[in-house]
Amino acid sequence: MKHTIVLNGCSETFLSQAEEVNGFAAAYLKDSRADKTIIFHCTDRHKPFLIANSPTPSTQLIRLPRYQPEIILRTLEQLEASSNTELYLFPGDFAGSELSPRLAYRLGGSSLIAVNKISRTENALTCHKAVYSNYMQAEFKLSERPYCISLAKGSTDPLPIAVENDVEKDVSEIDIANQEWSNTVLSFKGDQKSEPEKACAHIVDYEFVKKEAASGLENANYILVAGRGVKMKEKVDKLHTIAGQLGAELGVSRPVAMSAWAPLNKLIGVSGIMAKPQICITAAVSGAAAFYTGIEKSKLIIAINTDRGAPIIRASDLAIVDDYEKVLDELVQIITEAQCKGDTSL
Amino acid sequence: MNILTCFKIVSDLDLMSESDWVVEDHFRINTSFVKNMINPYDESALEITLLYKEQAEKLGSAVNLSALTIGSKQLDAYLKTLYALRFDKAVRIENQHDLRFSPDAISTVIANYVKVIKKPEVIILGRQSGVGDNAKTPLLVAEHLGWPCISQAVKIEPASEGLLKVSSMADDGLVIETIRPPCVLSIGNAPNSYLRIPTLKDKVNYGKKEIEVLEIENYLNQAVLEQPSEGHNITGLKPINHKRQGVVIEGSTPAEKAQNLYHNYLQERLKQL
Ligand SMILES: Cc1cc2nc3c(=O)[nH]c(=O)nc-3n(C[C@H](O)[C@H](O)[C@H](O)COP(=O)(O)OP(=O)(O)OC[C@H]3O[C@@H](n4cnc5c(N)ncnc54)[C@H](O)[C@@H]3O)c2cc1C
Repeated sequence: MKHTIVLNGCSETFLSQAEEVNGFAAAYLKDSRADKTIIFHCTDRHKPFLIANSPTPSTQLIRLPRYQPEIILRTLEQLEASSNTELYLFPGDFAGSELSPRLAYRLGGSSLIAVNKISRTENALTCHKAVYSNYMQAEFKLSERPYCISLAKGSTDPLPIAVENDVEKDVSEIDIANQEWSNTVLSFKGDQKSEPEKACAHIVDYEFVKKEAASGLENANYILVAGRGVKMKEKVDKLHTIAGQLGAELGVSRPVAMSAWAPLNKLIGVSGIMAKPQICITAAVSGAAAFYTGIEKSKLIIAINTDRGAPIIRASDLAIVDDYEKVLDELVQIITEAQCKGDTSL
Repeated sequence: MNILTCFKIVSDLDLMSESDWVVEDHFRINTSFVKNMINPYDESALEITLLYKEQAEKLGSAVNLSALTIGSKQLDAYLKTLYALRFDKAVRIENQHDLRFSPDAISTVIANYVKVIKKPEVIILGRQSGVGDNAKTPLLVAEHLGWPCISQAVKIEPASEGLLKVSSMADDGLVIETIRPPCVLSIGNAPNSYLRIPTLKDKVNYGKKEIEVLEIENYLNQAVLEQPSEGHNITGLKPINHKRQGVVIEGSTPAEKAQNLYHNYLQERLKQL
């Protein structure tokens, strides 16, 4: 099989995209031939970094004014129309999940989002993904080529790109940011307006507000998660303080983030961050599968819930059936005392 | 401005117990005994639509809201609630076919409906729903219509001269665009977008309007309905096991339990962090 990787080099998350896809390819595409990595990027300054971290020996850089799905799709549609790539691999981020099905539609292929495992059978690609809000794992057979899939976030371990000094990287470049699209590479003709202009004709004004600093949850060793059972913003704020006292990062479940009791970058689960800490304490979280997927890679899960029948109890290593606030107040006191006695490394 | 908001009613899967996850013929799972709810992302889509209408009307522009769902008669209760919340039109496309994993079929139906009524300039849908977890419907509606699509939208505000100001989450920030319809907006994690509850008075005054019921066969070919050709087929389904040891730490008070947790399990591990 021949596969092509598509990455968004306009985003600061480029390295994690590259390592995510690289890990997936190493796990499931050993027998496949990597055709190339297509990287969309916005500034020449980052080119050496993007090329160095491209997961394949061959890289196609496409420079555009900014990440814009409509422009990217038109470009891919034109460039890849005559390609014989069987599989397009996209990361599991927002960009990958919006581009993959739309590209499949345009190229007459088939697509699946949030794929966690693939295998090749004759005339089909077998893909596995979670369905039923992560309660079930389904197997699908994709039959129309090209297959365009985006990955399930956090499903495979990221793999850093190997530095091979003796291997010359094959790099080709297209510049859409400055060039008219009606060039020979992209054979758009006729119109007065350039293709980027047409693809963005609906946008009258554009502003980008950079994300506040990452919450650190993805790579935290120790996390404390607040669920809807904490009942109000003040309690989430208190848990933030407690997390600090415990040396942990605070995360929240979806209802807490959706009620704006905590910022969205604290959201844990399929719709947010996939954490993989050594220790995860959940406070007043019921353990819905869509949430649990975000903590299932934790080494040790400790659940505090008043309801012995809550699903999180069976899905944890250790559980305390009690009021979260009382238990955590006590725990903070014990740890503070231990620190005073020099009992712990905290 | 004419806006069409599409929503799906799903079973509240979090209420299913472990033993309820039984795979039947054709990879079906009986979830009918747990209560239904509006898919959370679609709930946000509906509330964001209402917030938009309020703001636009304050600025003196007229907004006409339609809500569309695809499914059986049971869903009419939700459509009545939307009438009570002052949607102008509530439409149900009757369907009994299994389209759980057929976002292409669903999006074809929606796009064909839009082509027939020629009305909405803006289509708003939640980005994903938790049965098929396909996360493709809004994107494919846009493709079928040849319209642009903004995904992960979290806020929609009126701008001058029939334009919309749409805020959407990107992987490394927030994008705020002023756009000219037509467009499809796919709603992501939008805080404070739980659907409001209608007043009793509005329920009485508006909740009884007639729901428009249409046949799905008018929007999708019968052969496709019977065997949706999505380019993919489901060939396996099994429960995901989330079980761990679940050792319950005993104690007669929260203090005792916390002591037990710390001394027997946490102390050493914390030192290793
Ligand atoms: C497509 C889709 C995607 C989703 N993605 C996510 C996601 O990424 N992340 C996510 O979190 N959810 C997600 N959800 C929602 C998910 O299904 C659940 O609704 C959600 O996780 C429930 O959050 P919770 O456990 O905080 O709240 P609840 O389910 O309401 O649980 C609250 C718990 O608190 C306990 N409690 C109450 N008071 C106390 C007390 N004083 N002390 C101790 N315990 C107490 C209760 O016993 C209960 O178990 C998604 C849903 C869908 C459909």
